[in-house]
Amino acid sequence: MDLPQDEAQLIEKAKAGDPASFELLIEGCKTKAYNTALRYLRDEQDALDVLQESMIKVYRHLGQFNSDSKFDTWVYRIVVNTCNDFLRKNQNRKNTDSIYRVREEEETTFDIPDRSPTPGEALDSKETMRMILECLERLDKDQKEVIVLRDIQGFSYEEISDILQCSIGTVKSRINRARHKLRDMIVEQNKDRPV
Amino acid sequence: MKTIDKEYIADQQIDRIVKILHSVPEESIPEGFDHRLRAALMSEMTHSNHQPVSATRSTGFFSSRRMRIGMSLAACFVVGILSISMYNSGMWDPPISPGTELSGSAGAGGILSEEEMASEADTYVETEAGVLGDPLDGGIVEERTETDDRALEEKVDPNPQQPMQITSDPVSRHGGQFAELRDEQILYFSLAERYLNGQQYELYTYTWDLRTGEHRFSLLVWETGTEAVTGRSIVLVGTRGEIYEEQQPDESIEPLRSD
Repeated sequence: MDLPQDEAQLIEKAKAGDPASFELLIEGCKTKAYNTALRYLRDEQDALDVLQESMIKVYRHLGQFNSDSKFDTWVYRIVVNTCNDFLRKNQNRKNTDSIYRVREEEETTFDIPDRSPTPGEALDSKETMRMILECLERLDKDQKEVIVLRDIQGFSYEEISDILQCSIGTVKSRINRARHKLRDMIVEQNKDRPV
Repeated sequence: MKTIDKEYIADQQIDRIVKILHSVPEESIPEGFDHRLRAALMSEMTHSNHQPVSATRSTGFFSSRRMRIGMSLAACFVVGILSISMYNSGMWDPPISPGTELSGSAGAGGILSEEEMASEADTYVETEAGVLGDPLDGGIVEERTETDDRALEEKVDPNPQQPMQITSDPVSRHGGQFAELRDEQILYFSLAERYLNGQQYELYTYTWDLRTGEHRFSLLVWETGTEAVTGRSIVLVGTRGEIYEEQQPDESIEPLRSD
């Protein structure tokens, strides 16, 4: 895969040990990497720790990057793997602090496309989002993974295939199954209240 | 129709879920993280510049997995070969008991001189045929015929040391106490015959003291006098490669027959 000229130069400089080039290189993917870790781990501090560890790994293994994939995708793959390692190490840790916990003091509203929500609808949306994200946590790891990458982070099928190191067909079928299971769980939880 | 409606409704619900998930807001990285990351990177750079070569890192000759497996197999092979060779050399045989130690070292080769050893080969033949062959039936050497002598000479081992090398005998090496006892018997019978110096005798009893290792021969020796033949009872004791006559408290000489 051909890298942009600037990116290729930055990679070469970073490989040579130039920290400024490395910072520029990761600047474009840092926020998305952080949000991916945040959706995986549901904890701001854990996400920051994983992000830092991931960037150190990126720097350490920069020499092994061989331009077979996009640099960003390679970074996201490292972030996802580091998240999985982190979750595996902290399996038994009780997760008490959720980023999805509704902060009573904040009046957060979420825009629903093609609709202009009234304040009451916005509150409903917030509740719905919280409920959906809670159900997402109960999905299998693989299913949660593809939902986070595809539906929350907005990666393409090809990018997800690169990040998870599996075929595009596998990604599509996994996403389809995960969405149906998530929908079933939501319906089951809200029998008296349609989604 | 109802199935299609159900699927349609499910798809609608999934679409709405996806839209809501898409609308999850993107969080910005907290301030201060850049400084933290920069410090971590600088630390990593310093660490990587001064990182010593790990002693456990597999490098060079032993880095290959095949090589390590091959070395292990070779080590097992060498140990096996050594074990077999040690077993065959007798290093793992059980120790010889004290009772049998006497005959091997002190009894045969340890005390006798080379001259005596040479004569042993001669007496070996005699004792095999005369005394040990059937000791209670007579034991008079002079009664042997020339035919017997020739037959016995054919049995003589060309190596005169052979009868005395009892420790190298595979039978005795493998715990054959009786084989060693037999060798001692041969030795002391031959010594007894030399001690009697051609006198006619009858062997009454022969005992071997397991505790002291002594070979005791109770004999009746015929002594031919001018007027009559008398018999004298003696006890010969063989030990440590020597034989001697035990002093009797009341030595009695009784006439056995008269001419």
